[in-house]
Amino acid sequence: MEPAQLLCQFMVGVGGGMILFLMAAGVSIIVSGMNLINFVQGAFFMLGALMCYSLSQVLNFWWALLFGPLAVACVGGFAELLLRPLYRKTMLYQLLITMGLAFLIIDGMDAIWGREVKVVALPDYLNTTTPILGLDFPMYYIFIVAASGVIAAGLWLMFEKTRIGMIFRAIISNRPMVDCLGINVTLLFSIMFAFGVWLSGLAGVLMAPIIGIDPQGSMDILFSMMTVLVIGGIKSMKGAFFAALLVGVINAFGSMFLPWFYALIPAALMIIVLLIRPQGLFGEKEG
Amino acid sequence: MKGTGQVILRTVDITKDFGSLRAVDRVNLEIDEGEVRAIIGPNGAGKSTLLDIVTNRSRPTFGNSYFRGSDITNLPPFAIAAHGVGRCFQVSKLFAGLTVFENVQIACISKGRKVYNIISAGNRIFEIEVNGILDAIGMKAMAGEEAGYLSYGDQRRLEIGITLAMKPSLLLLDEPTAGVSRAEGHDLMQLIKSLAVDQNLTIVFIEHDMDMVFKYADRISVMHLGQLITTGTPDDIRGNAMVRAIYLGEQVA
Amino acid sequence: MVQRLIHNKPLAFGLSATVILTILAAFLPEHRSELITRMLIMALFATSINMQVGSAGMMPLGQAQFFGLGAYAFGLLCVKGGVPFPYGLFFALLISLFAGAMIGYLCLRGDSLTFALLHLAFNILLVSVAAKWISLTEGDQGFTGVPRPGLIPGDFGFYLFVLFVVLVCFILIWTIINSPFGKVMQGLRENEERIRFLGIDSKRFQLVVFTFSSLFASVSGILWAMMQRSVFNTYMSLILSAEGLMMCLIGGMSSFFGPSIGAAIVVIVGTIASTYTRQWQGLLGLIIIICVLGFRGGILGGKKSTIGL
Repeated sequence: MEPAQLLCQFMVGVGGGMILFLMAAGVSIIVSGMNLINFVQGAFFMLGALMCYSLSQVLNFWWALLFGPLAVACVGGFAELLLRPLYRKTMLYQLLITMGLAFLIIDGMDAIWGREVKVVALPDYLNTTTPILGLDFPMYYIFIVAASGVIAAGLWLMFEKTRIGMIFRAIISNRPMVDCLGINVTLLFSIMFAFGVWLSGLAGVLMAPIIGIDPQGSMDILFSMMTVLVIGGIKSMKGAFFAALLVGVINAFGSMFLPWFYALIPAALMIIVLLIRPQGLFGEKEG
Repeated sequence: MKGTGQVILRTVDITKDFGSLRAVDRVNLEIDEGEVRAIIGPNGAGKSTLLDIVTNRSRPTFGNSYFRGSDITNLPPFAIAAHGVGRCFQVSKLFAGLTVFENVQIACISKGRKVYNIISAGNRIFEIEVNGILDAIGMKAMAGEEAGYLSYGDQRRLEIGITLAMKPSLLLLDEPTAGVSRAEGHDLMQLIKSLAVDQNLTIVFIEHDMDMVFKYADRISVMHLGQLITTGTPDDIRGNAMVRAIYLGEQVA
Repeated sequence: MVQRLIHNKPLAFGLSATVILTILAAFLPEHRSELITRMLIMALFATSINMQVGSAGMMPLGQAQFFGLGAYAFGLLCVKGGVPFPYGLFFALLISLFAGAMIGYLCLRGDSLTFALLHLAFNILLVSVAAKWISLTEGDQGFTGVPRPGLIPGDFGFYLFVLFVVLVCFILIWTIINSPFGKVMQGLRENEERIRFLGIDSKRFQLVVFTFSSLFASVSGILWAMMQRSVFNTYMSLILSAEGLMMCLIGGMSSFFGPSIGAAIVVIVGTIASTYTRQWQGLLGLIIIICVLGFRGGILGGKKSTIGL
């Protein structure tokens, strides 16, 4: 095992982790902000991917990147209207209605786009490879990792440095209080929700060229996102970030050393974290 | 109503810190078997927290509690309850969606050790015992009502009934007469006291209404800012200058 | 005795349904009676889920894992182990019992949200194991050759067997729910803390409920394997877990036969819709949304008692 190979695999892991974070960020916002366990975001991710496919056929990749997530966010907005009566109900109802929504959207995508293999046409300069440490890294891969980094930084900036970010954080930590402050929480929830969906849609658009676009795979994607969130701590974006990196690296090394076993690692990690530290690595114990 | 002289509940240096706030400060309490003890003190004195710690609803920062001599500090709440410590809460903890009858019945099922009985018919089990208790608390006519729809005073009575079904030796009550009319409050306290006599219960109750305190307690313990200031008979407490100073400005009936 | 029977609504419903179903199956063409068989097995599956839902704080998000476990245990013992039918059945149940107790113990270590997530996580884990452990489970291919009971031959005979087993299970579940144990279950659903202050170890109690519930889910899985004569890893799928929960919701979680009715609806919709469109799961999703937003408690829902019909 050469050190260069190990380092390479580590970078693949970090890259993979960044991508996982990208996918998980949207879920994280919605779950933290709204205490809404939400099974529909895998579907939004896949919808983003499909939007990318269609839009990049009609226009080009960059327009897809711009409009795709917005389109998904619109669908998300409609969905939120459906979910509104449920914010005070028990979790089981939330779970089930988001599942129902997921089923509906997944089959909707199936009906509209069909099941043939879809390939997204990338602009040429993204479709090349570049040698790093003796291995050919696909340029697009680097693009995605960079994009994730930018988004992660942007999110951090937004939450820590802007007013709306501060309000979001307040809602996450104590919603009824924010209600009392005269802020229109209902409107903000809708914005938060749309933003979360937008992020997942964006992740879908970005990932479209390199994953198999398959509506039926939405739930699997959701579960890997959930694993990351549980490990990091459900209400913690920072936790999601580091957990994503952790899972990415473990997956990368796992696939190298334990190919049979490594598919089990995320679920096993999730179980271990839930048993030992249920609030997640970065989460806070409630009460 | 004097006790047998045995100490039924003892706390040793019980202390609870919430961060830098010391809610309960080295409380050493001794309750004699059979007595009726009131714990009084201004708001924030740590009375409810003390009861929480004794029943292990909340863990003490340090200190120990002993029930009949055995250390119950680290026992889970259900074990402490099974030892014979009953608790009524400020906000009644009932089975809101079940009937009055069923509420008491479940307590009887637990006491009668039939919790894991999956074979017998559950509807009428312990009917006699349940009716006995409903009679004692005067709620027989309401047996079929849903507990969640009862008036506040009735809910408190029901909670007393549920707790008594467990035949506890020690009953801890958190402001039993808060929120009900004076007359209802006296009814409740008389009920509790007569049941205590019947079943040789020891009673510890937190109370703000001094009428109730002086009328029904054998002894009174005063807490302030987490500390146990003094314990004495109603006359002792009435004449105690420090206690009066603590309560200066408060309504004493 | 007969008087009591007539006045006992759910019992009367159950018995008459059984009689009607038996007669129907005798006279219906084969694929229709297979439909009823599916409905029966899924009714048992959904009812097993509802045992936990009615028992405070337990949301079994991954019940399909026990459905699949039962199927795999039975299938592997009989097909790969060459074990004769009755022993295969017995040991499959034993294995399911232990698995249920172990997984339940771990799931109950934290609070109710942790329970739900752990239940789901175990489901995900077991699905991966089933998919990857190809030497044991044949992975995505699955395996065939699962035996049916030899006593009464033919499809009608198998149907009667399923009916009998499901009936026995329903009677057992009914007995449990209407026993003192069942009363405590209701109390636990209403106020877990009060249960603890009545001297009851709520975690241990929940473990017992969980074990029963998982065992009945495993039974339904075994029956399904027999019906399909094969075992695939889709038997453990998260989609099936979700469908199980949906059956409970659609039919009503606060009544005994609610989940069964939900199961019947889901199976019928699935069977009919899948002949017309590939997107029948979407239709299911739509039904769920309507049910959650529209009815407050499902078709039979409303009154909280699990004892009424």
